Amino acid sequence: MFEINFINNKQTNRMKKKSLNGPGIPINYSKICNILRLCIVFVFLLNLTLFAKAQDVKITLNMSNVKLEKIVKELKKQTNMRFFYSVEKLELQGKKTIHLKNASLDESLKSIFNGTSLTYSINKNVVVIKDVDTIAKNKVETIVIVGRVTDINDNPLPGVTVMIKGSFLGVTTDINGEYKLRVLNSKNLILVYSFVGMQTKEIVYSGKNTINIVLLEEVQKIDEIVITGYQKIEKRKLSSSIVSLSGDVIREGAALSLDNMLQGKISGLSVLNPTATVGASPKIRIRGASSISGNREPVWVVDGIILDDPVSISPTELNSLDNINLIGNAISSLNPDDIARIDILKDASATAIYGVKAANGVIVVTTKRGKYGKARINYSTNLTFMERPTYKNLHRMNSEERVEVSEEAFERGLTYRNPPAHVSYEGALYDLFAKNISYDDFLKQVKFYKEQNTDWLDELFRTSFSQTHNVSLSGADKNTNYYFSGAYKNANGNFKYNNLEQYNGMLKLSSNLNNKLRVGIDLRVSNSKKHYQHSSIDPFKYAYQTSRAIPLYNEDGSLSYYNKSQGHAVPLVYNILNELEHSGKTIENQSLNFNARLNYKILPELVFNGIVSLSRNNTYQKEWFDDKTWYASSLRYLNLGDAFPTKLTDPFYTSQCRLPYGGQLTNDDTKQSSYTIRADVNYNKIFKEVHDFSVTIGTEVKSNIYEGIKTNQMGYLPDRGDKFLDIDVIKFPMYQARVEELKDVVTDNTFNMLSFFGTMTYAYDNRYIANFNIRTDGSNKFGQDKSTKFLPIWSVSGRWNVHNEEFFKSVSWVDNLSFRASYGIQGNVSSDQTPNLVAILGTADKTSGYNISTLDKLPNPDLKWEKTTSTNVAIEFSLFKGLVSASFDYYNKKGKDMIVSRDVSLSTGSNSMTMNAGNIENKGFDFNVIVNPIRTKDISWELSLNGGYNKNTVTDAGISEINWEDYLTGDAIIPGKSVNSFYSYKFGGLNEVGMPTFLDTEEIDGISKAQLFKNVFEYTGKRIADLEGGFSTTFRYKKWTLGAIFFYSIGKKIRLNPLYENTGQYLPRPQQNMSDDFVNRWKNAGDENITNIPVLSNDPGLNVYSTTFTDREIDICDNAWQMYNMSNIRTCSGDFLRFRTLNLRYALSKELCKKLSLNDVSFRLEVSNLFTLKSKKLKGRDPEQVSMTKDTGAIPLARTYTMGLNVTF
Amino acid sequence: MKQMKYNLLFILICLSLTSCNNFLEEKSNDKIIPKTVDNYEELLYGEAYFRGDQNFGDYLDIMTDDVKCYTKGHGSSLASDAREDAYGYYTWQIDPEMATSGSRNNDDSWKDLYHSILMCNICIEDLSAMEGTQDEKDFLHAEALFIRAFDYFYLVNLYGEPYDKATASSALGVPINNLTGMEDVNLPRATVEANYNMIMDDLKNSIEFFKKTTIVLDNFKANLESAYLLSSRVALYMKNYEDVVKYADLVIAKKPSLYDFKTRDSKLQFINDFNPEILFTFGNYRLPYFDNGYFTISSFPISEELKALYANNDLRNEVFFSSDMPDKNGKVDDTKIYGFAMRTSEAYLNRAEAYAELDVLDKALADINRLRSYRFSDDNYIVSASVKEDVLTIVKDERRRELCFEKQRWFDLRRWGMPRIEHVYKAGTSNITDELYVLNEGDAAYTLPIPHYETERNTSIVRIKRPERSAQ
Repeated sequence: MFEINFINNKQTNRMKKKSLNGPGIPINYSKICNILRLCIVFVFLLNLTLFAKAQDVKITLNMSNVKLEKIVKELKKQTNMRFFYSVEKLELQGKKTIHLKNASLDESLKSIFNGTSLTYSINKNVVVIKDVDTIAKNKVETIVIVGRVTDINDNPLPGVTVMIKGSFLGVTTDINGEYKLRVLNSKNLILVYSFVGMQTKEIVYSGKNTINIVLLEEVQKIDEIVITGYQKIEKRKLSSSIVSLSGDVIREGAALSLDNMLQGKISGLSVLNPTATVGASPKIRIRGASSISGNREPVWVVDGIILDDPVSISPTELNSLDNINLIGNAISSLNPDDIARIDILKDASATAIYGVKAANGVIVVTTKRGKYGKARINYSTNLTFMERPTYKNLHRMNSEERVEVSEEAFERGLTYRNPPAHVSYEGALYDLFAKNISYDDFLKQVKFYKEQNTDWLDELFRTSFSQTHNVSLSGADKNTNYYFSGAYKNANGNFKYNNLEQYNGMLKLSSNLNNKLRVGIDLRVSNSKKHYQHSSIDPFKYAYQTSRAIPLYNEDGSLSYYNKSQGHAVPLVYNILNELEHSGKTIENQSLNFNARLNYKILPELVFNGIVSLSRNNTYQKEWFDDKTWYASSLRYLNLGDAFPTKLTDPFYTSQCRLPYGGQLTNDDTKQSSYTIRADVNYNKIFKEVHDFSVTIGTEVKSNIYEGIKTNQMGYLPDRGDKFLDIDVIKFPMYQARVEELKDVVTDNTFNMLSFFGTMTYAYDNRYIANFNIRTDGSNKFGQDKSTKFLPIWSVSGRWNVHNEEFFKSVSWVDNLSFRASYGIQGNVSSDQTPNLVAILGTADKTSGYNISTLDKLPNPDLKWEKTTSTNVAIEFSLFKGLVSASFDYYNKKGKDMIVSRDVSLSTGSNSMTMNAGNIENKGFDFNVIVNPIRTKDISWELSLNGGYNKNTVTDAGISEINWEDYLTGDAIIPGKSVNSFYSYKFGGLNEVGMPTFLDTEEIDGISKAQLFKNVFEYTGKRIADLEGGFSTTFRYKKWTLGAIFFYSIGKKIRLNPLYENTGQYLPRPQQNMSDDFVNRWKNAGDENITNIPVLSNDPGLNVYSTTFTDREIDICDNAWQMYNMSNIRTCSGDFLRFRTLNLRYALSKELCKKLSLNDVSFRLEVSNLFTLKSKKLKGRDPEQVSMTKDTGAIPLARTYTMGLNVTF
Repeated sequence: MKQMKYNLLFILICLSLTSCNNFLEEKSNDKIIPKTVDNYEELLYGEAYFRGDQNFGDYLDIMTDDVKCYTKGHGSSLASDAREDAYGYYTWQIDPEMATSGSRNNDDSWKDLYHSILMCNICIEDLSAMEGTQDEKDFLHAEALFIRAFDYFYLVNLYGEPYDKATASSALGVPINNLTGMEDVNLPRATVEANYNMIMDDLKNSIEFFKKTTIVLDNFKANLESAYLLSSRVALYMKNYEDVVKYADLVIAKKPSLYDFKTRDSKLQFINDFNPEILFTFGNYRLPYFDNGYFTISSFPISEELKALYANNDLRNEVFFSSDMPDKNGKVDDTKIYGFAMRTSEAYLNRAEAYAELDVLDKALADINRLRSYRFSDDNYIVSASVKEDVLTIVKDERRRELCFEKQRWFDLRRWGMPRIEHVYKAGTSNITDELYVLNEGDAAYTLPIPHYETERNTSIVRIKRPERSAQ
């Protein structure tokens, strides 16, 4: 096979670009493809004939002292001819002055090149400008160069273009990768080897006539293109705000899911990891909270398909910062090792194409595909150790300190309101008073408790070991691309009863059926099973709050129990290990995703893309406890084994016993199934070389179904073969009531959506780019206003590549300078608002037998769409050949007419109504700076800094009534403040008896509730940071790479863990541990001047603050101790800097690998959460951990050590 | 190539248009946008009626002279204390919603009655757009009007000043709600006259529609007789005695039967499915203040005064009470009916009172004696008098005996000149002390304050000044 082609440089460039824009079809110069290529040449020739008359054009040139290239360009403009020349050579000729009038082409050329070392030839419509020398030498010598082109694995590469640089002479390699090129010898003869998907290589001819070449695979730089899920866009034509990262960059050894890896890596993306619990999903926000009542989570897209959460969770739950999601989100089933890249779409222009769902941003994940060459097998593993939490820095009392507090309480004669539990010092006192023990025994027992020092954290937590293994097989040849992978994870939480096991499999296959049609299928499966504690147990909180004087084991090694049931007539015994052993929770998820794609090239510039995607998620949640738990005892009202009262009239039967036998099993199973069908046509053409025009129109159909059932079954006996006992409902009426309360719940939701979308991009000369996107959705959403169906959302954006401007060419130190701007409108119909009257069908009335319906929604005819307008302006630049590159985005998202609920007068017949009264604004900026101070072959050093500043303001909240609790939790939506703002009581110091006082709590006659709250509460801050980001550094020396990633968060405030753990009981209960702050408590008169820690007291301290004890009209608190916990002195700054990861990587040298017959081997050591700089007041608490005011099960983030190995065969 | 292109475009267009309507049809398993009369009928029954699990004005009878306060003086820590919530009502406090515990015992009657009104408004408003026969629509219309009148009747008597023809045009009534959806408005109080006019109009219209429709359902749903009965009661309150007689006649003509205590099934409580005099039933049988079971340490048994009103041979002694506790309404499971009822006896009592006021004494006494003939164990039941005042006393006492603990007595006291009432409150848990509270004649506390949750939000509400009251 020997062929000379007329391929000009521009032509190859364009082909290359197609592979970027199109669906990723590698253009192979095989036999079949030759036909296509001939077609292209043919079309090209046809074009030439259209311009045939151009030679007759009369040319007028009037140019003084200009570069030759400029003259040639002008000539080109006037003649419409094609010119082939080397820019460098024209450059060498310097400047020239030329004046011509109505000259022929030949005359013009003659006078232009007169006196230069260049000459020309005209071949039909092509003017070739060449060296006079070359031509002279051509006549002298013709040489034949032969050789073989292979890839790194010595596989022959057929169809590689071999060209002589600066000419249009070239050949392609044959099936064996061999070529033969006959050229005229000249000095500076450079051969260019190019192949799609491979790095282009240039070889200077040195007289050797056999040149064998190894082409390296082209590593597509992540910043060259972006993937929006609907399109691939060249970065230099991108006018939206999109950040892209490669899978390798985000990969962290210890993280199990993609969302756990993103913190600090992407500007404008905020990630909150409230717990170290294995399998918990973090909270992710892109550019702030953009809705008041609606969902604030971003949309996850994998390989172009929107993934839905496996279980539908309400926006309120998702938005709450105190809620930990253990079920997992849309992305949990994806193996992080299969991720090739992610793209985060931030502004309206980027997300418009996703329609109403995408108001909170979109995260687009693209999975790996096979690389060109023979099959390669990759194995990687991560072995991770997670440290357990310790009492170090927690500042909790040890058992001696704790018992001394009890001693003081006793000595001062302080008494409990309800009898305390029979445990610890107080237990010993009981026994002493009951004369069960002698005073000596009592002293012995006190000593025993003082020395107990049970290490709850050690008993409940562990240094855990986790492992992940990942195998993939991938490869590609000219027609087929494949990637198969399998992964296994076994992750153990540092809490002993927390474990995750996950299997993943992926299969991706795509093939060219012919030169126009490409088809592909992807299949992803995963199965995960997670074990957690029963949700009534919060292990870290337990360890934190339980007195260390309580023994876990008896001396004989058996479990030691104590009474945990305040207020029960019978002491009900508790032991945390027993509790954990006999209860639990498992979440099992099976997921399956299948995509089939088809790309058909109708014309070279017109491509049809079709995709069908099916997905299925089965989630099985199981929560159980058996009859041996305290939890069961508390429902039974008796310890296990105690005899039931004999008389049936006993209150035990009539009012107490809610679960007489066995435990309870709760199953919550959800099946999510969805399909998406999408078809679009993409037209992309460059007119006259400078007008780049691209249009896509398409349609999408999506259906998502959630079906589920939640059941509760009583009388569960797991250790009797998972049997259930029958319980007599007549004998136990309270049991019957419980059964009725815990009714089975069936979920059945179908969400269908039909959408049309279009996007249009026009680029002029790569300098000016304009883009327009539009999308409209119609759905089967119930009760939707018909007039708002298919209301379009749209965006416009533009980009100016200053560096491509003629006037800017001379600024050599700027590689890239461009500006972007976008504007878009996004509408949203809040999920459950409707202009219609909606009723819920009920069952028949028990007594009358008539059917009833109840009210779901009252008619609300004035409802409008929620509207978000967003503006984004940005600058991007790169200086000194990539030494410094940066981007800076400013945005302003304004949410108008947000749906809020307003309490209305009850005489209207409703309690509250929803109205379009909320306005919310998110303003801020994102920035990214990368500096590469050293870039040599052996040493390289990269530094990068990113950050996102977001100012969220509720400009109009619309809500009229807020409870005092809302002020404290941060759930209050208050105009002028940000969402998640929280408030505190104003501490006014201790009074003369050591009791806390609070300012401005007086209830002045006639004061309104709102005004009183305004007085009582002081704005503390936000629970979400203003500025978040990361910085990282990577240093490489030969085969060693050292990287570090830091995360910073500035501007949030934290409520400290409560000092008084049980605010209803004014003395600490015997089983409670206390903060060692109490050591400095008020003890004597005058101490109020030196301490803020109140006296140990059994005084509710309420006389002033609560309606319960006074004739106040308006409640502002539960009691003074709760006020103290929630006061301004119990808050601190949440600013912190976390050393997220430090990793060291070593790759074996090529030679060594070869000896081992391996392709590539690398080792990695990684330490996560190395340290955190934070406010001292936090005392060992992690700044991201949720406050212990609620039972969340949160565990502070722990340090992990990971060893990783990566081998490619 | 071109052909192919067009084919593909054609497929694309087909894909986007076919069965679009089906695909996007709004779907929900259990939610509906009501369209048919049936849909609205179910909704009205679910949201506007006071069915077996709903109630209003539970505290009405403990404000009257029919009860006294009782406490066991001890009890387990799990027991509840009825006095906690009752205190404010029983002793006519300035803010009866304030419980002794200090927390607020919200009076939900206002909220529930207005919600019922809104639902009636919606049903009436949407009538013309509903799918269904005219007959069905007329029935729904009649029902909604009746329920609305019923709601306003209780509202104006709970929270409005007592009706007096002379002052009704300026006396403070309750807001009139004409809304048909969610709206953020502050409705001002209307006058008592406006309220009563509205009630009478609604009842008149309701009767018209009941007459028009051929649909007749049982006493769980509103019906013509109950509309007549309510009309006669409202007329009685307005002292339009001719109208009282007119409407009571209509009730008695249609449903003359009375429940014969001599032959009744003694296992069932008075308000039960076999009671022939029940016209319309509503509300919960559970009475929070009249439970003297194991788990409560206090309750409000019947007063000595009321007890003394019953003769020994009066069977109501055993039918209406059980160990000094009102016991008219039994468990739903047994009685197969809701807790309260509008019944024919009242028609006789209304008519008797009207006759007495109109000085037709023989007819008044005839009605009373007819009722008594069904209530006594022997023939020794006849009452007689010859002076109007005496007859009136007989009628009023009979009304008290017959309708006690049916949320009538308080309203009757309001229209009978608001007499002075003394209540002894048993304070304390172990050391019980008696505290005497007095409601003066014509006391402003004969009108309840509008609940807090309303006055907090609705700034246009004018409050009635109830006096401060402490133990004497």
